[in-house]
Amino acid sequence: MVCHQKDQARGEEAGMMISEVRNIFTIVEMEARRLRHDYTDIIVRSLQPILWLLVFGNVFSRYRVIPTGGYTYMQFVAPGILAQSVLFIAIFFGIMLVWDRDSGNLSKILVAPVSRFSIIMGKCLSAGVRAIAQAVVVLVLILIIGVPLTTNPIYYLLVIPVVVLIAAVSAGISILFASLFRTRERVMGIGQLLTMPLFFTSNALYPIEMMPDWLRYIAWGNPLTYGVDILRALMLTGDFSHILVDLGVLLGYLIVLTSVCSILLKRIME
Amino acid sequence: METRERGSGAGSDVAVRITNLKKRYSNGVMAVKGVSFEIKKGEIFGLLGPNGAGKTTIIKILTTLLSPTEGDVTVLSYKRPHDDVMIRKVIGYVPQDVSSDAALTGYENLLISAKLYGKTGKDARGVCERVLKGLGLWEARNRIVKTYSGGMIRKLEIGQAMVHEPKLMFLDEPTIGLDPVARKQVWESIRKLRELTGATIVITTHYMEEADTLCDRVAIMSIGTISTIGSPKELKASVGRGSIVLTVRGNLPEIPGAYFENGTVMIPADDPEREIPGYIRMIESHGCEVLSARIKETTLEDAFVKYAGSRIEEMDQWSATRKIRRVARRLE
Repeated sequence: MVCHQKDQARGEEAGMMISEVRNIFTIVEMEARRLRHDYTDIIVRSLQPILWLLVFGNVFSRYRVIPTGGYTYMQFVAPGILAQSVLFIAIFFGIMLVWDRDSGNLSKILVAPVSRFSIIMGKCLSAGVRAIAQAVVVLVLILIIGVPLTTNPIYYLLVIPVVVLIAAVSAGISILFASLFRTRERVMGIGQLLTMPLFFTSNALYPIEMMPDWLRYIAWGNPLTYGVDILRALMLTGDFSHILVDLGVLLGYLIVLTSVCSILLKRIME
Repeated sequence: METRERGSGAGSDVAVRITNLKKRYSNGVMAVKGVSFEIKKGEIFGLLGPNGAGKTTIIKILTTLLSPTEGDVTVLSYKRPHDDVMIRKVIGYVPQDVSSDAALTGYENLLISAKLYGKTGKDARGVCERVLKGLGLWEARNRIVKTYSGGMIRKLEIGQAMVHEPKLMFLDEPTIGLDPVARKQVWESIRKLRELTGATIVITTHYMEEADTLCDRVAIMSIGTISTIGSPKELKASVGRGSIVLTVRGNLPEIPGAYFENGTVMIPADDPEREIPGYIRMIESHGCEVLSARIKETTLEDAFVKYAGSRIEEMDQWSATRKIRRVARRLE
């Protein structure tokens, strides 16, 4: 009898897990459908990273001021620019959450039988959906420009889950700040304030070895560094010696950010 | 066993029980100042009051969106906050602000809602079709919600909140910013919802007419408290049957209960038709000329003034007015 009850409890738990995973996918589906109806945003946002590459990348390629280990600067910076475009699109998910709060959209989801963790995780992974679309456009443009990168198609396929992970972590950071600052104006300002430091204190534009000590510590704490590291391994160097650490740190960030945000979610409603 | 049965509220005819509810926001504003009342199963219950009276706060507490600062809240026999997960499964909620996703089609909005309430595949599509047809939105199902009229959006939102056939439905200002025709359509949808599902429906409103025609019982709220509760009929009857409205020239004699409003004399009366000639004779015998006379039936507004102590528009706050305009604009 006791045994039977235990089984039943375990069964219920498994059922709940499945339904929560389904809830996460439903929230992601909502974003995918939004994207399908209006993708102009993705095209427009792809222009900025290309400018980075064409202007900034070109100038720095000419003088070889940055030690890039045998690669041209364009090659070195291309994965960084890809990560940046993903970061920039994901960092606005905090603002979108505040928008959703100001319309009744968020209340509607909060009133449904969906755990807070699933709601935040769904929103983070929604950023991933948007980021995939963005990454595909940016990657194609990078290849059209003619930056020589890996020719292995499997590596390009593997870029996609990495992009989702970078986007989800960035969205998590942005949602964290949104639940702390709450109003649309403040969150908008914070979004602007977050993106540049995250970008500049990572290894996207220059290798960590070049940095002064204090900046290195910041770079090691910056999740974007780990994302760029994987992207660079996949798209350029093929050096996967850090991949477990990189993935571990990014996943760790995602879980911690999602858990903290699901506790803070109450604050955003008050 | 007996206590457990009582605890789970089996056979109880109470849908919502609130005892001494208080809510203080983090900015120090006391939005609800100790409120107690019950909502019976199957009724359409209205929280009537100006913006800022605390209606939306109460709805948000009942729908598990906000935590009470003090007091006990029971929703369909489930206690807040302990049973929040269970409460979410059995209630539906239409927020005051537009909650449908304007970038998606009506069908997609419903499909997402159905999935969030655990429906999958064929089951979910079946619910969508049934609800859309029931609300008369089937033809417009593949249009982006941005192109819907305000009334259509409200109906769609009601549909989204009923995919799981809730036993208790909360609608926060369901007709705010809608034109009179759309408003009547939304009322029709709400009545139909109750007819079809037998659900208990709780609405908030600051429209007197809405509370009067739609609600079985109304709670009159002002600044965080409930002044009185009753059926619209009872509330009106408690004010009296009506008043006599006169415009006069000259010095008016003393009339008990009479008061001035907008340059006219208002005399409350239980039977105004019969009493009016007597009053005119009496006033003219005092050398005062009666220029016009008419009868004003009691409205819920009069009851509101009696219990809340002020007219509803006078109590609206500037920020709230701005919000109504904003919602109205977005719905256009």
